Formats: sequence, structure tokens, C-alpha cells
Amino acid sequence: MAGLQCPNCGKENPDFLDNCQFCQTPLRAESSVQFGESPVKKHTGELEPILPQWLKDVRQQARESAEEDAAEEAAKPKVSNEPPDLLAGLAAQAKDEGEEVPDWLAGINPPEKTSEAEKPSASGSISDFFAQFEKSEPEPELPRVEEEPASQSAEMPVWMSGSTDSAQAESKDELSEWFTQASMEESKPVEIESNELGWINDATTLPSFNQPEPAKEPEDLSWLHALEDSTKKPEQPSSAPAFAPDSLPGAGASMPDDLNWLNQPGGSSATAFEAPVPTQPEEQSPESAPEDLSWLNSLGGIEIPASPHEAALPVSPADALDWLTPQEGQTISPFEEKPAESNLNWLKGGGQETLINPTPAESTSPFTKIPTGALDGGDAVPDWLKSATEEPSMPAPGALSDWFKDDDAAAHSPLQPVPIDPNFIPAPMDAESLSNQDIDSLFSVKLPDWMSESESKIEGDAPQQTPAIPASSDESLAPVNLPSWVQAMRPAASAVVAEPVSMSEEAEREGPLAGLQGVIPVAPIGSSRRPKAVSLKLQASNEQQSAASILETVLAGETTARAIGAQSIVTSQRILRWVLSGLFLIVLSAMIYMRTQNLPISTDLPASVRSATSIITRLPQNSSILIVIDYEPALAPELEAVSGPLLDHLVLTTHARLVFISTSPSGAGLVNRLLLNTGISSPAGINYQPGTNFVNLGYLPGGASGVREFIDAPSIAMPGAVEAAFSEYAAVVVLTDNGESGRLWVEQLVAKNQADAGYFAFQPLLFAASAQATPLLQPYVDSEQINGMVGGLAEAARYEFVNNSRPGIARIYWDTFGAGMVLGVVMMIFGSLWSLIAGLRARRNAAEAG
Amino acid sequence: MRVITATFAIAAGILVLLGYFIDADALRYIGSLITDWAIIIGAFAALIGIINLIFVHMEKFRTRQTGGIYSVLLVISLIFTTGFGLLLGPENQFMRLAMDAIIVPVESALMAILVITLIYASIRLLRRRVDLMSIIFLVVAILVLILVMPTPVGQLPGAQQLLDFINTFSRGGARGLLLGIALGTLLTGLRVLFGIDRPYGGN
Repeated sequence: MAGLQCPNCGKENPDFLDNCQFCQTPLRAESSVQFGESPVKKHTGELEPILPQWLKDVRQQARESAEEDAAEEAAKPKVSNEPPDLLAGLAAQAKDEGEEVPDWLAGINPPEKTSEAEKPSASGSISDFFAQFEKSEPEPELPRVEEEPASQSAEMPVWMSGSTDSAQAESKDELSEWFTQASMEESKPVEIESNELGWINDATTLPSFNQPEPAKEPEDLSWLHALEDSTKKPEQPSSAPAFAPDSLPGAGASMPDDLNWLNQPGGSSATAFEAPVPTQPEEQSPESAPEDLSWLNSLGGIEIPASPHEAALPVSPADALDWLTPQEGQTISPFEEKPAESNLNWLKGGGQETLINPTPAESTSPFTKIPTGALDGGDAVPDWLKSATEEPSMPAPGALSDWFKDDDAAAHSPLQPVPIDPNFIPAPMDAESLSNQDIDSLFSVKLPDWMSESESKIEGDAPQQTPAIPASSDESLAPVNLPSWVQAMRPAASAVVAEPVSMSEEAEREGPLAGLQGVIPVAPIGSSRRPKAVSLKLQASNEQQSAASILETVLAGETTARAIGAQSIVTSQRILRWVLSGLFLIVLSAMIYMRTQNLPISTDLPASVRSATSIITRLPQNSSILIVIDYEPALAPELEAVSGPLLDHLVLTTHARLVFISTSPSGAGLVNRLLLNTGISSPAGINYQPGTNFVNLGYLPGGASGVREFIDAPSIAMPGAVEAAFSEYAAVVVLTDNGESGRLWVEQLVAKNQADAGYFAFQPLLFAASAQATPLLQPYVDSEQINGMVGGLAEAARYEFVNNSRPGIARIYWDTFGAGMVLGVVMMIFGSLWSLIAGLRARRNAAEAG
Repeated sequence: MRVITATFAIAAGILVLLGYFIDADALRYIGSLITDWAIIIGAFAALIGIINLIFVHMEKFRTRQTGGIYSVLLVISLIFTTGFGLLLGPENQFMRLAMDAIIVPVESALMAILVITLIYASIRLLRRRVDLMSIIFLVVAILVLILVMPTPVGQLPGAQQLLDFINTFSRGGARGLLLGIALGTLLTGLRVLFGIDRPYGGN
């Protein structure tokens, strides 16, 4: 917030102040009308329609009160040593002790006025009051007054105190400025446009403007005289007609609503300024008088024991409406006076200030007030005056707390809601355009309902944070006690005490704080900034808990060892194996031992065998035949039996020279076994001699590469080969038990034949394969890449049978082979059936066991 | 190093492959030379395998592992067989005896055990799993055995036709398998030629 530097004292002042808070020097040139300057017209009339209804009512009442005051002022001689003020007129009335004043005026009058009327020094106190506004420093002789706001301000939020002090300083400066200017510019009336501030123009009786009395003056005097006459009646309460809603001048349809809050037991003391407003005598509204008198008696006379004259007040039993008494434990009087400079301490209410009903002698000064402090032996300065005489420093914290403290008391009473226009757009508060009386009326006539409701809401929001303040009695509230809503705010404020409270830079647009800046903090008030309590307990639903239990069960099952299968199963399997092995050993051994050749052999040769025999018969004599040994020793008996008839037929037919080469590491050692078992190299057989009739080239490494290399250059690949070219071999016979290795020879030879068809076109490729390799090589036989093939013992037995049962190996194996196959087939059939039945029974038992 | 090995491998493959398509003596010679190198490397690979086998079993015996004594017997047998083979030659009577009396019976015994194991598995098949494929597998196996087994009455009537029908499926499956192998071999060769696969290391 930018400050303004005082041109006189040089101190910094808030920018919302027009006058220096230290020396009261005008801070702005336009803030006041100086000597020799003509006032500038301000067109603010267009803002008049948008004022809220309550503000309009306040202004209207202020006009009326101003008119009344002006009328009284004009009717009475002015006191020369006092400022021409409304209060000055009241002081003059207070001096008139002999004049009878109606009770309502007596109730309004502070006792101080009466004391001032009795004592010359008392009148001086009023003048001192106005003189205090001229001072820049607070009075040191008022320690009690200073202690109380100080203690309160220490506990009040900053924004509240700031607003209060600012309002205080603002009002003080306005008054001092106004007084000084008004006294000096009596001959120069301020020109104010009628349509802008009409209510001010209506209040031409304000002494500050010194405007001529309007024609209403006789009328005002008449109601005042009527009031005086009415007070002379002993049975009738004096103030009853004054507070009749219908009797108020200008009270239209809205007046009853506006004055409803006056009937509230905790109604703020702002209603005190309603008292001098009446413009009509009580005779004009006799029907409303009893009610008004009753609540006035209740409010004003119930708890004001300070005045000894109270008992002498003529209170009509019928008019003393006791319905308000039980609810009102408050000492607030509706006639509690609010200082003219809008010092908000008058709103403190409660038990701090109590008005005593004026005695007949005191009734001459209707605004006389007797503070309780004075009754306790304190000084005679009222609280509101003491508050006004506090240091005019910067807006101190907690100043507004007094304001709301009264509101706190008022919250315990059933306040009537004041209708507020929802389209309310408050006009900017122009301090210059309002007189002190207007400001008083502004804060005295109506309080918006939010002020009364806010407190109750705050109390309702945080009932557990602060102990409930008993609403039944305002006397229980000590002067230093904070209202509950303030205490409810303190924990939140203490929680964020380290943080600088950010103040709103925008001016308030609603309520009595309209036009003030930085009063309400931006930060939320209350429990919204408190850290929310977080429950440490896991919030899990039933489904989540059930899922967690399932997961736990699954995890526990993973760590649980499974039961090992029954030992009997393993035993039965082993027995079965031993039984199978024993059966085969017995049967096959018996067949081998018996050397039976009873099983018949078919003479129908397969096509591949016929092709092989055909090729062998067409081979040239004494040619070199390449014999590839490509089987393992495990299958040597089978391959010997399969290849025996082929080799025997080949040797016997062509007398070929056999060249053995092995693509298996152990194949080289199987060559002699083969020749011996087939009878080729046996002396009892063909008697082929190694090196002459057959050659064992040994092992050919390299797989396909070795085959390729041997096909390309046999002598290079295998140094023992006598054939320089592969074409020198009349035929290639591959003895294999593996389709993969046999496939290599097929692929490499066919590729060579395609590359050189003329040379390899008639080089046959024959295969003698085991039963397991035959299906894989059968496609090559079908595609004639393999010219002839003998597959398995069954074909070999046929071939051998055709070959005159030579060498006879197949035939020897044939019966044993047949017995073993039959045994195997039978065991497979019956074993499978037994397993099927046993399996079904086991599954059924398992199903029954669950 | 990776680039060098890849370069050599791809270049060798391309040169040998070109020898199949281009009838040029140079390419044929280069292809034959590279193939000879491959055969020599393969032979040394077998020798290295034998040496590795000796070290493995010696380590097994040194660390007193289970069956270490058999490892010692293997190594001793290997040394003696190699020595006798180098000294006496494969046509020696002693070497024939080693083959005929030890190697062939042992491996043939393994085949006999295989027969027992297969029969036992076929018996237990329907106990472990009873489904359509298992039944078909077992029924076809038994049927083929019945069709090819020697019977006292000779071949069963209509057995050869039924066997040819069944062999149709086996031949079709074998052809598909061979085609798959051929395509796989082709793709593998291309990947090696393009350096995608590096079985020679460096990957």
C-alpha cells in the first residue's frame, strides 16, 4: 500500500487518509476546500439509485435527524465556546436542567451530560472531546482506556484492528477537518448539487454548512414540544412515541422492517441514534406506543443499576413488555450512544458500558451516557470518548474487534434479517460528502444481517474449538474476553502466524467496510487452512480384503511342498520294465538259440528293390563301386543285414572293386565287419581281399563340404583314393541309418549330375537304409534321385530271398525279428488296454476323492 | 576383428556359391581350396573335441566327482585305442576285435533298451494321456508293426496295399520336412552371406 507523505510533519500516512494522522494536515489538495477556493461540484447523483436499501434508509434517517437537530439548533441559542455541532446542541440541552425531557430522551442522554450540566468542568469535557480530535497524540491520563483496547488489539486479528483504527483515524480526521472548516467558512456555504447528495441538502440544518433553516423547522419544533408534553404525563413512558416506527418522519413501508432489529435483545447500540430522530409526536401514532415503550424499558431499564434514578422512572406495567426480559441478559441499551466520529468502540456493548436511565434532571440531555467505569470510580470520560482519544496512529490491529464484539452480543439475539438488494453495488464512500452525523447514522441505524449472522455461523462452524460463551448473560463476558468467533479464528491464525497475512488490495464493496482496503485478508479464515487429519488406517473394502486373503492363500500354497507321489507307482513302473525286458530277452534269446527259420518271407519285391537289382545287373564288370559307410555301430547289425543282399548281388554280378569311405567317425572300423558278416571278405565266401578287391578310404570329415570336395576331387579329399575323378565310380552305394546324412549324398550328387549331365547321367545312386531312415529317404526314391533303395529288414529279407538267400543274415534275423515284433505288438496292445482301464479307474477314484 | 571375420566368411561363401553357377576354373579352384580348408578345419575340430573330452573327464576324476572312475576308464581306453590304431592301423585284428566285441554290442544293447523303452512308453501312453491324437498315434504304430511283422502265414492279405496307403502319409510328411529343411538351409546360408548370422563368432 503506497503511503502519502505529510507535507507538514513529513511522516508517512496511508493513502486512504485525507489528513495526516499525526498533525491533521491535509494530505491531498483536493481533500478539503481551502481558503479562497470554491468547492468543486461532484456529480455523484448517478450512484444514488444503486445504493443498498439499508444505506438509503440510513441516509434518509440521517437527513431527518439532521433536520431535527438543525431545528433544535436554530431554536436554541448556540453556545459560543463549542463547535457548532449536533452534540453541542445536546450539550446545551443538558445544561437546561429545569426543562423536562421525555423519558426516551432521558434514556438516550448519557449521564455524563447531566453531570456536565451540573458541573462546569463537565461541559468542558465535551469541548475537550472535540479538542482531542485536534491533537495528534493520545491523552496520557487515560490509562484504563488505553489498556483495554491494547489488550484487545493484541488478541484481535490484524485486519480487524487495522480497519478499526483506520476507521477511527478517518473519522477523527474528518471531524477535525470538518470542524475547522465549518467554523472558518460560515459565510461560504458549500455548493452541493441537489441531485447528488439530496439527503445532505435536506439536512441543511447541519451547522457546518450554515444554510438557512428550511420551512420544516416549525414542524420539527412542534414534535419536540409534543414530546416534551408527553413526557410530562406520568403514566406514559417518555420515549415510547419517539421510537414508534410509524412516528418516524419519512418512515414509509420500509421503516418497520428497518427498525425490526431494534427489537432484538442484543441489538447493537447503533439504535441509540434513532432516538433523537423522531419528528412526530407520540399522539400521531398512539397504537404503536405501548410496544415501543415496552422494549425500551426492557432494554434500557433491566440491567442498568447504575443510576439511582432508575427506580423513579415511571414505567407502565402494561407497557413493560417482559417477553424481552428473559432473553436479554445484556446490558446494551438501544440508546447506547455512538460517538459522532464513528468510533466503533461504542459497539462494544455488553457490559462494558451501561446506560442508566436518566433522572428527571438528566433528561434534559438526551445523549448523556454514564459508563460503568465512571460508576466504578473511574474518570468521567466515556468509553467511546476514550476510544476516540486513543493514539491516532496507523490502523492498529484489533480495532475492529470492538465493533464485532457488540455484534457478537447481538448474535445471541434473534436479529431480524435486513433485506439487501442482491444487485447491490455500493457507491464509493466519500468521506467528504458525509458529515459526522451521517457517518454515525450509517453505523447506527442498520447493521446488515451478515454481521449478525456471520458470528453465529462461525460459532456454529467451530463449536468444539472454543468453549461456548453463555449467551444468556452479557455480564459474564469480561471486558477482555474475546467473542467466540474470534477465539475460533485464533487457532487458525496461530497456525499460520509465521506467514504474512496477505491483505486484499481491493476495496470492500459490501457492508459497512465498503470502501476500505486491506481490511479483510485474502487468506481464508477459519478451519480451511488447518491441515486435515489423515487417517493412518488402511481403508479397504470387503472385496479388497477378500482378494488379499486369496492372494495370501495362493502365496502360501506356492511355498508349501507338494506331497511326493506314492512309492508303489514307481515300483510298478520298474517292475513293468523288468517284465518287458525279461520277456524280450527270453523270447529273443530262445529264437536266436533255436535259429529257427520257420516264418515265411514274401517274394514280392518292392519297386525300389526291384530298381536296385535292375541297376546292379546293368553295372559294368570290374568297375569301381563307391560304398559309403554312414551308420553307427549300434545299427551295424541291421545295416549289415539290409546291405548284405545288395552287396552280395553286386559283388557276385559285377565283381566290382569296392571303395569304402565313411562319413561317420566309427564307420571306418565297421567296414571289415561288414565284409566279414556279409561273407564278401570271408574265406568261405567271396573272399575279397583288402587293397585288391576293396579299399577303405577311411573317414571323410567336413560333412556336406567333405562330400562336395570328395565328389569334386576324390583323390584330393581322400589321399587313399586311386580314382582321380568321381566319375570313375560306376555306382555309389550309400549305407545309412540317418536320413540327414544320406540326404547330403543325394543333394551333392544330383547337383553334380545337373552341372555335368553328360558325365554323371548314368552313374546310379543306390541306398541301403535302416527302417527308421527309409521314410525320410523315400521321397528321393519317388523322385528318382535315388535309383534304388533297400529299406529295412523286411525288404532285405525279400531281396535276400530273391538273391538265393545270400548272405542269409536277414533270414537268420527274420524269425527272431518276427517273434520280437509280435511280442512287442501284443504287449503294446494289452498294455495299452490295461493302462487305459487303470487310467480311467484312477481318474474316477480321483474324482470321487474330490 | 568382427569386420575381418565377417568379410572372410562372406567372401568364402560367395566364392563357393559362385562356383556352382559359373563354370570357371578359377572359381572352381578357389571353391575347392576353401572346401579343403573346411575339411581340414572339421578334422581338427574333431581332434579338438577329443582333446576336450579328455580334459573334461580328467577334471571330473581330479575333483572326485561321482562316476570319476568311469572317466578314468574312458580316458585310458581312448589313449590305448588311439595308440593302437596309429601303430597297428584300422585293419589290425586287435582293432577289429575292439570294434566287434565292444563298440557294436554296446551300441546294439542301447538300441535294445530303446526298443523296451518305446514299448513301455506305448503301454503307458493311454494312462498318461487319453486323447484322440494319442490313440491315433498308438493305433497307427501298432497297425504298421502288424503289417510289416513276419507272420506264420506270411504277409496278411491286403497288408501291402494298406501299408502303401499309410506310407503315403509318411512320405508326404517326409517331403514337407525335407522342403522345410531346404528352405531353412537356404535362409541360413543367405543370412550368413549377408552377415546377419555370424556362427563363426563376432556376434
